[in-house]
Formats: sequence, structure tokens, C-alpha cells
Amino acid sequence: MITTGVVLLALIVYGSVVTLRSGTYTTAQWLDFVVAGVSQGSVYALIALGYTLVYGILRMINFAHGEVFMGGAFTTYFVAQWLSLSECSRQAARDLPAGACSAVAPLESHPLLVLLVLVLFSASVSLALALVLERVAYRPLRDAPRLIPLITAIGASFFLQYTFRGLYGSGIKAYPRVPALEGAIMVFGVRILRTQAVVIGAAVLMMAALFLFVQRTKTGQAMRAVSEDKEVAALMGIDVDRTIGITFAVGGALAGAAGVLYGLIFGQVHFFMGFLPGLKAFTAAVLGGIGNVPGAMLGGLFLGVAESVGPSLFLEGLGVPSPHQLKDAIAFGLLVLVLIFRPTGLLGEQVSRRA
Amino acid sequence: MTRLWPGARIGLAAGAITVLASLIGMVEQFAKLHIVADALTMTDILLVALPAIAGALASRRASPGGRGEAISAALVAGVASAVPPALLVLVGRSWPLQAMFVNAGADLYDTLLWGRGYLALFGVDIAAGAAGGAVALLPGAVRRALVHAAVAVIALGAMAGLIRPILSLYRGIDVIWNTGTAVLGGDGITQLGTAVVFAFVFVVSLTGQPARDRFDQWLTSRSAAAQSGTRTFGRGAGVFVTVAGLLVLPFLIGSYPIEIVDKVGLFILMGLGLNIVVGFAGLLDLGYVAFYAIGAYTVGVLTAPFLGLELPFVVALPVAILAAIVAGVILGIPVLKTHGDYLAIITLGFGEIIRILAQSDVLKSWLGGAQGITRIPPSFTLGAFSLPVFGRVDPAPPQEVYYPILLFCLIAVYITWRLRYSRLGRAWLAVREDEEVAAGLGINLVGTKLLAFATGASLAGMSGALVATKVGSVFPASFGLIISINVLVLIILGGVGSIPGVFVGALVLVALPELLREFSDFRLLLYGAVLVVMMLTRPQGLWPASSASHEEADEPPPEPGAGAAT
Repeated sequence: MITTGVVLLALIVYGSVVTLRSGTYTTAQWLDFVVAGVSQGSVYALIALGYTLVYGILRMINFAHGEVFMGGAFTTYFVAQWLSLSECSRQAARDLPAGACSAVAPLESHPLLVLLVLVLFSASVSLALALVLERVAYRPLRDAPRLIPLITAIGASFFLQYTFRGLYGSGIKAYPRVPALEGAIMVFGVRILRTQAVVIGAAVLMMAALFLFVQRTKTGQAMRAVSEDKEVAALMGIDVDRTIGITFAVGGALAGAAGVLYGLIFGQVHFFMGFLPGLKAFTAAVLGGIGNVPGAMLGGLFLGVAESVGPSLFLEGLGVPSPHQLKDAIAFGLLVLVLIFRPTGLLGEQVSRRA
Repeated sequence: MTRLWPGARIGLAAGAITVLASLIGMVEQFAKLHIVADALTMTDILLVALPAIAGALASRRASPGGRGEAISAALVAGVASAVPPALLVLVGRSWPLQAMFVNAGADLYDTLLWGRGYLALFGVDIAAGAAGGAVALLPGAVRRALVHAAVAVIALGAMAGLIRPILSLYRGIDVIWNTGTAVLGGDGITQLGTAVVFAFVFVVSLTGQPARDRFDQWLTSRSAAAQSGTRTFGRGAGVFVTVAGLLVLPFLIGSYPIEIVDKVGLFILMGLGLNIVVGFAGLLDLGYVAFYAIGAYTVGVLTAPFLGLELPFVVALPVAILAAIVAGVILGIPVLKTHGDYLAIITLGFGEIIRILAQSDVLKSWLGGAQGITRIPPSFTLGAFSLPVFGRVDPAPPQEVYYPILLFCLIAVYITWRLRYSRLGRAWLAVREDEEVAAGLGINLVGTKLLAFATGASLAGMSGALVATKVGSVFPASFGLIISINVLVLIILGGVGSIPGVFVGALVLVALPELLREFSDFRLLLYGAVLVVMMLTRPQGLWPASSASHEEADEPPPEPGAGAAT
């Protein structure tokens, strides 16, 4: 097995060397890839936090977390849509007489404020979804053999996917463009798209907030306690049920926020959008060390960059045609590599002691 | 006021489900499924069943307080269940909900109000709730008989569209044809049929259990030797009749139903394989579809003109199975040390990698990329062995595929059954229950696990090979995670580790959606719901595995107990 890993690494190094020596891409292009990777990775990191928090506390993969992400993003699409229309267009759509109306959409006049509203709305929807999930599907099975909650989670994931498909339709919806976020800015000589800057900035803010929450507040302390040892935490007077609920809520809220950011980057939402990001986010959580909050953030960023830079870097060097088709395979490949070489993740696991 | 709350809560939940079902489009879709010809559609039944069930649950909850309490609880539930839909209609008629919820249209509101108005909605729901509450108060046997009868009527009505073509095969036999058409109209069960079937099933259900009890009494009163003799005879006769029936099945029903049976058979094969991996050995493999794909692609590559090989199926089949086995071992090696959740995710990843590779341009010259491989010859009839009865058509008629599928299913059942009670089978169960103890008992963990993967993979490979020749082409898009999930739900529903359970699961989950097209939009949603509900209420499945020990080995693998590290 180690041999497989070594072979894979050798291939990666070889491919990278070939590409770099051939000089197909300029430094500016590489930097573009990296920045794109960082912004995508931020989204993964936010989702990964949800996985890692839940795994740290319950030792289960919340398979339906991707759908929590999707639910928030998709529902917020309609709000975004509504806010992207000016008063005048809305009146016109309803065949109302054109009175004194503003021709500027809220999304245009107050982009950052609207984005904040969208993020908050999406976070709330996802939070609610996560709480319902926990209450209905996971809480009754908390003491069941581990495979049962996992299967339940898989079932919940599919159920949610197709419920949203039924509710909102199976089409792909395009997120409205934010005019104020067109174009790029230069930061230390690196070209960053405005949307990417917003995404990265927002993600960093949220991750910092979460870190402070977990480390400095009493509830955060309770979460850490429950994730270290549930029984002893209960003995210490911590309301375990409530803490678990809060964990799910926080993870859900972060995923919801990530949903809006995803919409900004990729510009579209659909009922199936939670599947791949969910899987990749889980990979990121494992990469960083499951249960480990900074690990999840790091893992997400790493995965994002690897996905963005990887195909051009080593797959092309290996002579693989259309390397970007295999972008997703890189994420799964990374997962396998991590589990072979460093199963506890880059920063080490942090899961509850088995009673 | 507080007395009324439990009933109201149940009713509100039922109403919420109604609203959800409406918004996802179920209510409108079901209106196309006629149960009682020209009278009742599935939607009618759905809209009445929900408040009725709410009433029954509320009544049962309040029954300790006496009949009056129970009925009033049921009435409250009925009223409450009408509130959410009423709100939906109220809101929907004032605001443009349809911009967001694609199904929230005027037609939906009319349907919810029974085409008349809010009074109709409340009236129906209250009546249904009361009826449900009353039924819940009836003695157990009567209640069960009523439910059985109702289900039988609904089932027959739903499947009328399928049974009619089969009936028409027997048009010549007057008795069958006349009774058949009297009971089943063109579009569901007739009203006469409803009455007849309801009464018949009701009576049978009522007298069934007492009759069985009397038979058991008679049986145990005889001598031990006579008992085992009877039992063996019964079992033997049962097997004989089943096998004989299966052999002549294509002659009894038409080609469309056989098509469905073919599909069920393929999933039974896969189910038996995954049953070994998940059920016996306790390894949750979500990438199972990879082996299916490998089996199918191997046959495609070897027999189709794509690469110019065009080998006969007889040669390609063993190669396909071998390829799947090799893949099973290759997949098994990296995951030997992982458990539970990690194992599931990694295997899922592998399944996806295989699909991505099959779809990619990298391997396009071998695997056909996104366009796949086509023109795979239907050559499973071993060359000259084609049955002249069905004629030689290209692609082969479903009846022809049926026999190879049946053969492989029987082989697979035999293999699985023998393995289950063999040393290897017991080793698997031991590994499933507690790996460390198993290792301590001298079981070779590596070998046991790899054998589980390999055996499971071989069955999937078989199934894949068959499907390749049956359909005549392979496309990467048809080998997604959905299939792995499909097979998983199948064995969970039937009972993990249970061989008869696989048949039950396959019948329910593969045959039903085929028969009831109106459900097909919501298939995966129902699968998800089935998984959740099953895990919450009956994790051992519908036909649980009997275990050698009397412990709870029916459940999906328990985690090692205190102290065992995973």
C-alpha cells in the first residue's frame, strides 16, 4: 500500500516538473489558479467545519450536510432574485401602473448590505434544516450501532435532495450577477477578482468568528467538552442535548453562508449542488484531521488549491488530455493518499474518547 | 386546552406533510393514477389517508382516557390536519408563490379544496379523522383485516394497468377473461371489483390467523417424525412449485412484465453480492456500482465491434467476472484498516473515480468516453441455443434474457446460501460483530475482508455483464452512485444479511416503480424516506436474517463494545 502512495507521489512530482519546465503557463496564470483555488477552498472550508464539528461530537459523518448547504443556497436564490430586481421592474412585472419608483435594484445600490442579508438568510435556512435533521433523524439513533445513523444520514440526504427538486424544480438557476463586483483588484501584485476577494474575506471573517466562539465562549467550551467526553461533560452539568443541537446549528449556519458564496463564485444553484462539494468538504475535514477546527479550515484551502492547480500542474505534464475533467478525481485521490500516509490528518484528529 | 394539544399536534403534522407533498408535486402527479375506475385516484386516497392516519394515531394516544376522549382527539386531529393546506391555499391565492414553488398553482389549490371550497376540505378531513379514530378503537383482528382489505383494493387498482395486458393473453379462456374484466376496468379496479376484493380479503384476513393457529396445533399434536416429514415435504413442494413456476413464467405473462422481472433479477444479483459485503461482513461499500460497471464495460469492450475484438459472450463473461474480482481485491486493500464511516466514504470515492475515468477523454480510445460503447451483441444465447419460441430478434426479446438471468440468480442464491453457513460465512459474521475478537480467535482479517469484497464484486460483475448484453450498450452516466444507493436501500429494506430479504427488497424497490410510473418522479425521495423510516423503526428489515446465535445479529453491524478502538 505504501508503494501505491509512493508511486502516486512520484507521478505527481514528475508531471509537475514536466509542466513547469515546459513553461506553458506564466506566473500570472499560476497565481490566478492559486487565487481561484483559495476562494473555492474557502467555501469548502466553511462546509468542512460543519462536518468536523459534528464528527468531533458524535463520531458520525453527517452525510446530509451537503444538502443542508444546498437548501440554504437554493432558497436564498429566490431572495437574491427578488433583490436583484428594481422597484420599477417589479411593478412592471405585476402590470401595475408605473408610479414613482426607483430604477435601481437593491443589489446594485447596496451590494454589500444585500450580500449580508443573503448570507444571514441562507445561514438561517440551513441552520433550521440542520436542527430538524438532528431532532428527527439523528437524536433517536444516538446510541445505535454506528452503521445505522450513517444509513439514516444517507437516506436523509437523498430525501432532502429530491424534496428540494420537487419544491423548486429540477432546472439550474443562475444566481444574479452583482454589478459592483465585476472586475478585479490588485493586491500585492496579485490579481484577484472582486467576487473572489469578497468570498475569501467573508470566509476568513466567519472562520475567525467560529474559532473565537469555540475557544473563548462558554458554549464553545461546552462544545469542546462534549466532544472530548460526553458522559463526563454531562456529569459536569453541561446540557448535552442542547450542546449537540448548537453544534449542528453552527455547522449548518456556516454551510448556509458558504452556499451564498458558492453562488457568487459559480453563479448557479440546483438541487444536486450539495453532493460534490459535500464530499469534497468531508475530504477536506479528513485532510486536516477530523474533529479539528483549524484542520478543517486548512484542509479546505489545501483541497481548493490542489483542485485548481493540480490538473494543469501535474496531469498535463503526464500527458493527460482534458485534465480538468479529472478535477474531481483529484479530491478523491487526495482522500485516499491521506488515509494511506497520514490517516489522522495534517493537524491530527480530535475525536471523543470511546466510553 | 392542553388536553387537545397532542391530537392537534398530530393533525398539524399530517397537514404539514400534505402541504409538503403538494409543493413537491406529488398531489398533482398522483391524480393521474386511477385506483377505482372513474371514481378514485391516488390523490384522493392520499388526501384522505393522511387525516385518517392522524385520527387513528390521536385516538390511540388518547384511548386510555376512554372512547369519548379518543374520538374527540381524532376529531381535533382531523380539524388540525386541514389547517396547513387551508393556509397554503389562502396564502397562495394572494401571493405569487409559484415564482418559488413550481407546483403551487391554481390547479393545486382546487385539488386541495376538492373543487368546492374550504368547507369541503375541513369536512373531508374531519370525517377522515373520525373514521380513522373509530377504526383504531376496533379490536385488533378486525382493524388489521380492514387495513389489509383496503391495501389490497388500492394495490390492485394501482396495478390494473399492468394486469390487464397479462389478462388479455388469456382472452381465449372465458372464465379468466370475464372475471378479470369484471374486476379490473380499463383504468383501475371497478366498483364491483372493489366490493368483491374488499370483502374477500377482509374475510380471509379475519379467518387466516385462527386457521393457521389450528394448523400449527394439529401439526404439533403429531409425532416428531411425522412433523419433520410434513415440514420437509412442505418445503420441498414449495421449492418445486416455485422453480417450476419461475421456469414457465415467460409463457404466463407478457413481454412487458417479463422486462420488469429481468430488471428485478439483475438487482437481486447485485443485492446478493452487496448483502455479502454489508450484511455478512459488515463493510459498508458505497462504491459497489464500480464492480457492476467493470463487469458491463468488460463485456462491452470484448464483444462489441468498438475495439474490433467481437469475442463471443461465453468468453467475455468469465473475463468480466474475473475483472470484477480483481477490482474488488484492489479496492479492498487500501480500506482494510478503515471502518464504518470512513470506509463508506472511501468506497464512494472509488466508485466515483471509476465513473469519472470511464467518462473521461483519457481512456476514450478504450472505453468510449462519454458516448460509451454501443452495438453490443445479444449473444448470451450461447450461439445456436436460441429458443425458437420467441424468435430471433435484435435486440433479443426480454423473454430470452430472462433465462440467463434466472440461472445466474439461482447460482448466486446457492453460493450465498452455502457461504453463509460455511466457515467463511461465520468468519464474516465474527468480523462484523467485533474485529479484534475475531482476530484473537485466529481469523485472518485481511483474507476474510478481501474475500468478502471479491465475492460481492463477482456477483456485481455478473450482473453488469448481463445488463451489457441485455441493453446492448454501456454509458458511463448509467453507473452512478444512484445504483449503489439503490442496491443498498434494497438490502436494508429486505433485511441486511438476509437472503430472502434481498428478494423482498428487490420486488418492492425495483418492481413497484416500474409498475407505477406515477411514482417514478419521487422514487429517490421515497428511497431516502424508506431508509430513514426503516432505520428509525425496523432496522432489521422486512424479512430479517435468522442468525445462528440468538443475539441481535439481525441488526446492521454493532460497533465493538467498550474498550475496542476503531
